[in-house]
Amino acid sequence: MRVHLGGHLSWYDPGKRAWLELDARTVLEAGASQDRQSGPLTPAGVARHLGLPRGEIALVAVNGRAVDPDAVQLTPDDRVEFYPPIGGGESPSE
Amino acid sequence: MGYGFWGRILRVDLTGGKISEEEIDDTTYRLYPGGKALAAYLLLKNIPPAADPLGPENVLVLAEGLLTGAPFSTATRFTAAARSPLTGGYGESEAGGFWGAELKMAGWDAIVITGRSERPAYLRITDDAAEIRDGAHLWGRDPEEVQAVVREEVGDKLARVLQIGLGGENRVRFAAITHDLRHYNGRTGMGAVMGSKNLKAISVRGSRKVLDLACEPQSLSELGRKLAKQVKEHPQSWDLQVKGTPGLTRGLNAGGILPTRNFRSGAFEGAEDLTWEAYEKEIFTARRSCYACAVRCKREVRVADRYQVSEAWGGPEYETVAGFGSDCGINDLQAIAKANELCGRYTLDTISTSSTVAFAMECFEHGLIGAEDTGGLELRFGNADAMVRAVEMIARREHIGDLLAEGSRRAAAVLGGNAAHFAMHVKGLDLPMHEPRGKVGVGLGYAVGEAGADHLVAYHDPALANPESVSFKGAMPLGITEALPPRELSRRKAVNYAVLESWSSAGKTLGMCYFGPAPRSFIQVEDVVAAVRAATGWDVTAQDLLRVGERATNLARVFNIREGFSRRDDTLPDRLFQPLEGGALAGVGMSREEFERTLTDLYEIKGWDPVTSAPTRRRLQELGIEWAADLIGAG
Repeated sequence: MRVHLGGHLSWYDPGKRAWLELDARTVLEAGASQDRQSGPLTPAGVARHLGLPRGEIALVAVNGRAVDPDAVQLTPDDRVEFYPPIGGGESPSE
Repeated sequence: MGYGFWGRILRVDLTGGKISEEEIDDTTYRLYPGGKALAAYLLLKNIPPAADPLGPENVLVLAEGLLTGAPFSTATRFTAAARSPLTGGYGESEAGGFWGAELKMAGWDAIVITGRSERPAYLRITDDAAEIRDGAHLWGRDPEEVQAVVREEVGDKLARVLQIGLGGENRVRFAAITHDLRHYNGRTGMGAVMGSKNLKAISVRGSRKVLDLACEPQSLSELGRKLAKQVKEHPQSWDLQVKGTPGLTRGLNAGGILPTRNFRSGAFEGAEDLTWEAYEKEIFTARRSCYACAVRCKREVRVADRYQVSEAWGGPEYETVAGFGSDCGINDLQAIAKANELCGRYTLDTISTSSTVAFAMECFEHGLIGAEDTGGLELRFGNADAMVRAVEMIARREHIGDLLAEGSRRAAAVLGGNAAHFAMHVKGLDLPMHEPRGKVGVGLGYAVGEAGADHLVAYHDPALANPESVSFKGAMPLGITEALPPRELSRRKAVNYAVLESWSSAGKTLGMCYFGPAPRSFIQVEDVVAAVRAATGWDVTAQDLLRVGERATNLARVFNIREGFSRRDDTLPDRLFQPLEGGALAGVGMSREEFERTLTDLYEIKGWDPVTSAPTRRRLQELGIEWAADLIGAG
């Protein structure tokens, strides 16, 4: 899974990366072991895994489409993009 | 004279060839402490009503901010102001860079330029000494040459040269002013005003230390050092340094708010080629800075392929990338860098120039402009060569460029048909590259901004939508308590807008860049207040600074009311009330009813008449500027 940390969100990555590759299974297992997440993997789960502050995520896009980060189930080939309030917009919510 | 300012203004009468000095007392400076506030005050005091913006009766003011020149990141800016030849109203544009700091080091708070020189002239300022010099040999010459010649003539390689290029000489109504070839007072046509005065350049050199002016230099210096360290420790300033403003493109595109093809759509299929990563790969050569600023968000670029672009002119900012890029349907960064360089060389505002080219492209596609008007150019969306050539035509006033140089509003009136619908402006000033249909408070700012559509009059809605965000928390000390959705247009939004507009106006008065203070970036409200206290010794609070900002906005509004502006001028292009054609917000338009209702609410909150939009006498009294009420007969 390819993940983009837009704008100042890459500051929260320890390596200050704008793009990173994640293994979906690893994210799910890590979430389950910390009792934070079970079931399908969502962009919100990826954000938690990466330690992105919820307050800094204004827009999430999956494969180029703006989505509700809690309502979309990700697959291993997806491209997930996170954007902060400045230089983003807003995610639709359902 | 108090602390933090010199208490004197340089007056330059170009008609009479005279130079004099005017004092500003402490009380006056407290009311109008530099930058925007001082400029607005000086315009109202010096420009007669109904002055021809390109005539000798117009007055050009250059005023540095209260903190400009202090060793304090982002406190770099100065204001250029006059009656705008583009809008006919209050004209204002801030630039960062080094010239404002140098003027402060020379011992002046502002320059007031009146009249018109018979022959081309330039002004030399070295500390207290100022002289008007013959500039006939500089007229028509490229800014790069002019800078070298002026520095040689004044015998100082480090002199800061503020100047106009061909666009200013030809009175393109959106001509800019540049200094050091890479910093610009871009908006509202201040370069055309300078050109109309036959004033080619102003060279400045100062030897004073701005820190010595401060009431508490040690405190100010320590604060400056603390902030310099914070740049990399704060996500928003770190982002500006690493990615620069081109870092905005990808997210705005994903959010459906990247202006595309003259604001028809909010997403561009070629956006991937306009991202900061593409910028770094294709054109970027170095990061640059403004005076004493640790953020270093400026870019330098070079292109050696089809378009030859020199690094002398600075790199395109986001506004320029989107303006000549998505808004013109172009995904060629090298062509965009070339258009940016030409705007630098000819001193044209990149926002108005690109917007006017996009307007012309839409007119061309609708048959309102033909190849016979363009010298054979197929001026269509996506044609990068034609876009670059159009910039040349505007600066040189060739073919259709002569009409486009009058600005999109005037050009639309001449072209007729649907052209007015394609001109994306407010009060004649073209829209920056921020889409109000996805952040309606920006639209409110475009509409009420005294200078016209300005994206820096307030803070953008998404930054204040989540109470847990760094940016929202940064705004709370200003009295912002409610986080609101970006597309909510309501009285609550107007309440927030009024506060943030005053804060932005205060920033322009203090000489601080928009990329300094919270909520946009890393400098907390308490640090701005501490800096003003250390510089001046004044016992000020954040609320006092908001009042300073509000006072400046009211003066600008009085200027416009005096020139016949009214509520009807506080509007938006029709297109913004239509649905976006593409992107994440396809189908979304602003509601005209909600907009008008919120405008009425905003006037009420600001103490302005809901019909005329004029400040009431009572409000002006409360702000300590009742004299301004007399200028407009306010009741």
